[in-house]
Amino acid sequence: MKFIHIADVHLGAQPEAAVYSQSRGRELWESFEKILGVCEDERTDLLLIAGDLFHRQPLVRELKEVNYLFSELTATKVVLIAGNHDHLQKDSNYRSFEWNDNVYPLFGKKLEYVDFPELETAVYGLSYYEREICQPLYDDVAAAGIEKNEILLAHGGDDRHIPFDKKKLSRSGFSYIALGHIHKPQALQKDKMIYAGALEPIDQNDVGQHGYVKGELKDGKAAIQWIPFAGREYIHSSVEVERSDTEGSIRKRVKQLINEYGNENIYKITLAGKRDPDIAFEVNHLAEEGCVLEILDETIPAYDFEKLYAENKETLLGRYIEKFAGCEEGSVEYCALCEGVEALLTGNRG
Amino acid sequence: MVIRELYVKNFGKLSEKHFYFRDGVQVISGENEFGKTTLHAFVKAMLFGLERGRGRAAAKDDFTKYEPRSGGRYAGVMRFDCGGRHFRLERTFGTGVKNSKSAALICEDDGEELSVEHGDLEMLLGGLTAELFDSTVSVGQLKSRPGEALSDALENYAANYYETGGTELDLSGAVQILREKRKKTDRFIREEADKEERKIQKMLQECEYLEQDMDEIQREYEERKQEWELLEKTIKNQEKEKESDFNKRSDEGTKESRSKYFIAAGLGGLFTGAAGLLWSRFMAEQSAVPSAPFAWIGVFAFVIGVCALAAGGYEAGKKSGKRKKEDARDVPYNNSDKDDERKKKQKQQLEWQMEHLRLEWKEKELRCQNVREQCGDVKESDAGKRLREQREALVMAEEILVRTAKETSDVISHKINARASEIFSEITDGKYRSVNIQKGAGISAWNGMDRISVDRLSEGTLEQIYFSIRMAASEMLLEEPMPVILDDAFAFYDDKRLESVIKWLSRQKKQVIILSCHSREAKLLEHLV
Repeated sequence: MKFIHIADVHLGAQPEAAVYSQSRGRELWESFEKILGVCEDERTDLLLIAGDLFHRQPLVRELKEVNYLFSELTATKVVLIAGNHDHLQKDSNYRSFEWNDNVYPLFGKKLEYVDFPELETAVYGLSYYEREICQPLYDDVAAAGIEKNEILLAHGGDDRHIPFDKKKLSRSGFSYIALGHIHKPQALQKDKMIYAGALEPIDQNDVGQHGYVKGELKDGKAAIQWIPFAGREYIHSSVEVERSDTEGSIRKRVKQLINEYGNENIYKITLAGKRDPDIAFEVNHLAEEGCVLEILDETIPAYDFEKLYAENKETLLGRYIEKFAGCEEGSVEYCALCEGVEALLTGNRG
Repeated sequence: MVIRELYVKNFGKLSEKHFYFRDGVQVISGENEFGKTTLHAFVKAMLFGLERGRGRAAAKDDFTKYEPRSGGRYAGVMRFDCGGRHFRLERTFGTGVKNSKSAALICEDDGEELSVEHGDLEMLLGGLTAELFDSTVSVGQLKSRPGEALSDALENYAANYYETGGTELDLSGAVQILREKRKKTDRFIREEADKEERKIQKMLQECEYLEQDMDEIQREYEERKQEWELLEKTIKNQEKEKESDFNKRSDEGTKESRSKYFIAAGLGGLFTGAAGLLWSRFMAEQSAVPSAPFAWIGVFAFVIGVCALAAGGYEAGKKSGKRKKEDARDVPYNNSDKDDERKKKQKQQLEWQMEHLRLEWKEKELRCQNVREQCGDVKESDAGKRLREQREALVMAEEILVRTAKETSDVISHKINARASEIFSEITDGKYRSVNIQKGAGISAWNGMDRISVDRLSEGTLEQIYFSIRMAASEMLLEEPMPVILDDAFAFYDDKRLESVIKWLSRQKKQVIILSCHSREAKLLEHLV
């Protein structure tokens, strides 16, 4: 039995994506269409969608769109649950929508399952009726043993979204547990308990690669493979600034960085290290490259505070530095120290 | 420390020049443009090095200012004594070479090479830094800013001098810089907040449009509903009417049978009557049985028959008239069935439309709800967070700077006031007993009788106070006696005051180098010595 496990597609979201922001929402739909294309091409038996297919409450026309795409699948059955983002609120369109024959929503508040005897597989799952569920609903679920292969579709894993005990879940008797909610792909247990991660990064903090899980179930044993799929990636990178750097040299290094990782990706760049105290970077100028979302200047002026202190012990400068003894680099205090010293020294120069 | 010799290789306008010095007070005099200030800068450069500045400041820094006019090596040698040993310091002020590496320090007594890089020179200077050099032992004239009275300049100078701990760090300048930076940060914060606000506004606007649409849909729905209700009513009415029509028709049916009955009875009567009459005739011919009663009965029956016939004829006539009328009404009655159907269809259409509107409304409401949620998700950007942190840091920097200045001032003024008063008293030959410098209260000189505030003192006296403060500070703040360099410091001094100052200076166990464009210092000194 061949399956594909995706999660957190978040259709309808409009992620910030610098120059690509305008079309980013569309790209999520395209990526979803593409993964259905993969299902079709590979004659996948089951497509598992582990919640948050939609970013918010789905509109009827969106459901129609999705259902149409599902209906085009000739070999694949689709099982889905509603996550916290697209939870089944009172008037949710999920409740009244009529799905195509090959679509099996598990929209129960309590655990329910759908049986596919021809695949020797049963899929279990429950859906969100609230934005948040703090009860550990998965802690006492168990596979009923109806079929050889039993899959649990689950969504959550943090404090406010069905927290669960990894060990308990691992012992619950399921052959494969398809997890959603956490956007970063990760394996809680090899070949068994897997967060597929968001299909596409949804937020600027969804860094790293994104994709889906492709797997095969045989006699209650899964063998899976995580496949990178997303069209873009958010990259948080830092540029280590040195005393000899100027705005021009930094701009060049930012450009190099982007050339290296590709300009289809979206960047958030932090300038770190120690800069020449005489230079201030205009980060807006540095962010000229279209795919840069943000540049944060966290450089500190390259003052040798120990030396300055030793040389100016009795003076205002020394006493000022003394007040900040022991403060950590990067703290607000440290920033105040730099600002004050800079002001004193430049004030003097002028 | 005593400077023995300065050998300027190339430095500003000076080239291949040797200057020799001894301990005690000495004067180097020369015309303007001779290069006194250059020599002064050369001493500083030899002691502390001279680096090429970077960025904006580079164009007007000392490195650029004193680059040799005539070309040649930008370098020099200084020989000095310190702690009973003789040293030779060589420096090259070059680009590319690190300052300390381009310096060589050799003890001439034993040829030991010391390392400037590792701070051996700093050790010999005993805590004198470029900062302190500027603010203590190197004395120029008290300079007022354009438009500033000299007395104010002195007050500002003294206040700042104390607050900064005997340096010429500019406290108010620094505070000013911090405030300007804060303003700039505030502006960036606002811009950042505006960006978020615009995002939210855009979404709220979308919500508003959606709500307008929803209202429109609602109105349309209400209209349809009214139409539907009206239709419903008329359909119901018609149905009622139809029902009552049906009742009327069955009513007429009974009437019809009655007329038929009358006619039948009439015909029956007629027939019976006729039969009676015939029978009475026959009986009269055949027998003696009187036939008269039969005849009467026959006549009676005949009359009744006629009457019944008439009644039946009337009823039937009435009926047929009515029927004609009703036939005329029956035509619209057939149409009404079609109308009915149309109305029902119309009603159903309205129902469909209403359902469609309801779904559309719901879809819009959902979208509106989604957008509102999205509004709530707008987070402060990291840049915004960073800006707020920076602002916090700037506020903290200012607060701590001002507080530290106050503390410094308290400590320093206490230390320096007393010694400055002594010096001031000595160089004014006891005319003044003390000088009092207090922040807020200003500066005043005490002559034993009156406290004279600074604005009533002559420029010469102000210069003397300035000189006293600096000399007091250099004693307080420096571990080692350092050469005092006076660069045209006495321009405002009259001869008498100059004499007292030079006398005072020669009593100090210090090397004093007076750079002057006048010859009177030299003459005075000769006279004194």
